[in-house]
Amino acid sequence: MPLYRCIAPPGAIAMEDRPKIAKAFTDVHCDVTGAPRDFVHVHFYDRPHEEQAPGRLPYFIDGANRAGRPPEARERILAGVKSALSEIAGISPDEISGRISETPASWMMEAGEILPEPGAEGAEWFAPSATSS
Amino acid sequence: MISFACIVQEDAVPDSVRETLSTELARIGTSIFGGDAEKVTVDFTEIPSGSGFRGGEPSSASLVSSSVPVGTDAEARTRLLQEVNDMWYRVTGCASDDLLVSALDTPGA
Repeated sequence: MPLYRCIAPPGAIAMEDRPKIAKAFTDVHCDVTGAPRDFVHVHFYDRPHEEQAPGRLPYFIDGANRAGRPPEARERILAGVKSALSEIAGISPDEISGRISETPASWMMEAGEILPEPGAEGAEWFAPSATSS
Repeated sequence: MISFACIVQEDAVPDSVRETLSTELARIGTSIFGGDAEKVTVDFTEIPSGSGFRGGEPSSASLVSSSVPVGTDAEARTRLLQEVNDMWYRVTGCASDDLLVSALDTPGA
């Protein structure tokens, strides 16, 4: 955790751009939350716009984070990932929508450990091999 | 009835073990929540090579999202997470930090 799903029309995001976008999304999340990079997941899905949920723009970033951070943090993350996608893939910001949903930390397990609440992580959790969101 | 949505990276979880994973997920789910194992749904979505990343690098991690009844207590939820986690490592032999499991309240589950 976290997971960012980047949904776009088939072929619209070049394969060579995907690693750059994934790194940029990871940078944004870690800059805002202070979390280590190791467990930030980014997936790309090729899906025609007409097959996406109603009301979405052609490009949709679906973020899932642990619950418990202030709304401002989610807003900064969403603005940051949308900006990164726009700049790297050359997409108009007007074509990108997104959301950051939240799940209680105690509802998730990564690397065999129940995730801690945001702000309740011990120092060991931030070690390079630890889990984050 | 509970369900499981499994997201795996291309070539990370061979087709040959997916049937075992499905059977084991249904067994775990019904052992905790009851019901008929044949009615548990397990779906696999494969992320193509070059489209899954972790920490900004190509990923081999799997994600298993479980849909459980609204109001599931902490003991049952934690048991599900732990048993799915342990089973997945045993069956797939994946690295010890290559799995994220969630148990999400879902109306109708």
